[in-house]
Amino acid sequence: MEQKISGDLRKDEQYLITTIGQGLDTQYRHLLIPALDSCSALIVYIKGLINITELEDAIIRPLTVPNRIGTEKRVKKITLPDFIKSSLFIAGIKPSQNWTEICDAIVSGNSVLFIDKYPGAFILANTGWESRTISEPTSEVEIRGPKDSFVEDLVPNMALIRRRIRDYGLRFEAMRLGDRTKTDIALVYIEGLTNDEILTELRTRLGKIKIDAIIASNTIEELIEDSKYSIFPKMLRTERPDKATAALLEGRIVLIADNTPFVVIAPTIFWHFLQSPTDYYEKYILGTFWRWIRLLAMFLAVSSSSAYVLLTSFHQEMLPTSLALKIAADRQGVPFPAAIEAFIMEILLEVMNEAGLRLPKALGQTVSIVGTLVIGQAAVQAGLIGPALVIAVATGAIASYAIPSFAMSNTIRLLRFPVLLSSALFGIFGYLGAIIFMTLYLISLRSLGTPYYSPISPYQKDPQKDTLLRAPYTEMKKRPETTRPQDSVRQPGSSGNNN
Amino acid sequence: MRKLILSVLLITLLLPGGCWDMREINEIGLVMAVGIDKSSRDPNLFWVTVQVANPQGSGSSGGGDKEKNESQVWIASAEGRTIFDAIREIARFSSQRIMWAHNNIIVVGESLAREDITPVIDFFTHNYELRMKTWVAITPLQASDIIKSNAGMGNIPGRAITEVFRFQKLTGLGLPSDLLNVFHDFSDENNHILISRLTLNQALTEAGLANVSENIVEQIEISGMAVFHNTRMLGYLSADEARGLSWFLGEEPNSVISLPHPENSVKAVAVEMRSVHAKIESRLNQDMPEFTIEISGTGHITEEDISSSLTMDEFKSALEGLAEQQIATEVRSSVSKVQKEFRSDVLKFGSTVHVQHKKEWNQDLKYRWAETFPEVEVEVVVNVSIDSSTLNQIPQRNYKERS
Repeated sequence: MEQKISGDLRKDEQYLITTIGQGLDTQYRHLLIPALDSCSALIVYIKGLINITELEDAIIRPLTVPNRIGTEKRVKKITLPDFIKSSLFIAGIKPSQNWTEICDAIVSGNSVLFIDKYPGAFILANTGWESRTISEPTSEVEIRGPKDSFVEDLVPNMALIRRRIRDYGLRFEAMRLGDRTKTDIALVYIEGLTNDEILTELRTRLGKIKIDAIIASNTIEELIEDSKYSIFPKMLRTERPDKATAALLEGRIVLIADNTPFVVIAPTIFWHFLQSPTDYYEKYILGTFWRWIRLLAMFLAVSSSSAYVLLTSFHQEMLPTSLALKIAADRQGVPFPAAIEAFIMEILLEVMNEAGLRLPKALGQTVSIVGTLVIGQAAVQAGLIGPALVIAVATGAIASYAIPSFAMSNTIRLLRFPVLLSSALFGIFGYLGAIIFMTLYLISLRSLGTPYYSPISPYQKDPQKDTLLRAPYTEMKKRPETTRPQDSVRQPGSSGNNN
Repeated sequence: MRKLILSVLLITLLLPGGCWDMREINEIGLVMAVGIDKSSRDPNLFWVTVQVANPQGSGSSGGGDKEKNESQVWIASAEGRTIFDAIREIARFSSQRIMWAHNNIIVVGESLAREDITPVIDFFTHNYELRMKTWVAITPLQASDIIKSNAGMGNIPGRAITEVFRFQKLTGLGLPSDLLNVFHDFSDENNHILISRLTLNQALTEAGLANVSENIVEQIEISGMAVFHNTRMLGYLSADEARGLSWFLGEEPNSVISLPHPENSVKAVAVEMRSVHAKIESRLNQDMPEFTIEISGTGHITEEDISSSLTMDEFKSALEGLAEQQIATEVRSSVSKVQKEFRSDVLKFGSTVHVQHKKEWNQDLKYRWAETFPEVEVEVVVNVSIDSSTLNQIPQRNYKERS
């Protein structure tokens, strides 16, 4: 690659053919430029990645049809780069002498123009490939709020954020990761707001990545995570631009990877996974209420089946008498101990969940009927499973879906198993032990150096307004301290004005 | 990796001890009521009767269409040198493990109570499963008769008794004597215990109206109290006497008192007493304590079957006077019966003096309290206010007689 561009068109073409090949999609277009005394030229591009109409109308036509600037060139001795820049009707033109840069430009969807006898090339930005239009979010549906979502393309994704933040400080730092995929990454932050230490830390971690391919943004997430073996998601993924924007304005950093419609937000705290944009789009009282409901749902998702095992196999004294008798009556003749029964049901539930996820839509109904009728009702009627357990397991499953983040919801559902095992072995001591261990573990985690469980532990006062509560906007005058923002004031000079 | 293997090994180490103390809910027998008597064969043995819920009979589930006529409870009795012996004896032939946590009531037969109640209190306070809110009752019958009886409208007789106890404050004929209260008084050297008395009463069930003789079901009722001195029962207070005590010992009794009408003493006015509060004050008169029982409450007129020409205020004050008088009479006669007949301080007078005159109590009174108690003067002050909220209606009879 050290070889310079020779200026000999034939030689350069040969070099390109050996480097990027001469496949179906790689196109070599020869032409003569009358304005340069019919000097021969070559345009290299990849079909499907460029905008063909633009190539024809804005590049080939001005080069082949004699024009005024061509005439002037002979008289006024305009240099070749200037001539090219002024004759082509295209915004991005970049002269280059570097083969690596040129080849990268071609495979990324630029056209490159070579001119005989000129030891250089022009990278013409006329990318244009088929891509999905911006549509409604599918995995993070909200009733209120904007309905757009990120797409697979980096450029429109950046635009979605820029349209929301017109601050001069908004930066999209370019980065390319993956030796073979050469995926474009944009590191988004707000200069003068985002904490520099966190930013430097993130840059260092990204710099350490040596990998051949970045398939999706979560590859990066996993590579830069704090505790790699931890089950909890430590960065928030979202397909909602409003969520990403809000994170940026809280002093967080957003990572957009090309080809992934999910951006990564870091640093993230545990409580973010229980928050949803709707909390901010509705009245603050409702927002607070929903946050508590989600917290309750998380608790239920972890403990509903364990609670059943606990109460029916260990601590019957904690049940009201009539409920104890009812459960005892329903369990008459059930062949398995409650713990085994609960394990079977939980596993079956996960199987159904997994099956339902990948099914073609047409089959969905069949599975739900087989699932509910056969496994639920028939098993109870046949006396294989106690009906109270079915209620407990179903409650846990439904509760887990109330958690807004898909990643956290799955994590929580998986955590039911160790909690259930521990409860089945040691009763309430096992259950409490598992919960305490999990809480301690959560407190020990960090996301990009920020304590994961903050602001609850370590305790910070001001961010409490937006953790389990959603204070009215008039009260949230500062950005959360958890991200240590450079500019911490949201509402300058409005102190005491609560109207 | 080594850490992982190590932790997996450590976890498997826990498994052999696994499922410690586990027992399935359908494999345990929930005791609903327990009765303790002296054995009729050998007076040194305890005769324990337990009523265990049979969930298949009570919690009818699984379709609901199979109307099984199974009994809702399973009753077993056994003998033993100690109460625990007897219970272990039951375990020998019971198909399910016995669990005490849901027990509703402990019934003690009179013969045992007259001898010594300590073993009962001792066993049940030692038992970690049993709730201290379990009711305790004394019966003049065999305790096993109460346990065997098919009482109440509920599914399980043992639970029906709980309800009877819960609503006893409507009549004030007994006391809310749960294990905690009994244990508390029992362990206090100044106090003596007072436990509600349970009997069987012949009542008609609805079905029984057609054929009276066959369908009489004996119902459990609280009537009166058993008075103890130290560990032994002395005798009973009748239902009426019990009400006199419950005015100041009970938990806010809701009793209804029938008063003669101020204008026509043949007719009666029913007054329901609410928010009754009592205070016992003691003062020393030359080493001799004197007590004042102050009772205050509001009365609500619930029945008034006579046309009246009195104004609201006249009627109210006349009625208040009558109510105060009646309550005071009831209290006085009960207190004097306890003092003179039983000579046992179940009224917590001793503790009152102890609290209010600590020094004198510790120096002197404590040592001669047994002799002093029957002699102390007791004054009863009752303050009833008839609440006007239910006074606003004119007696229904006034409408007819005016026209």
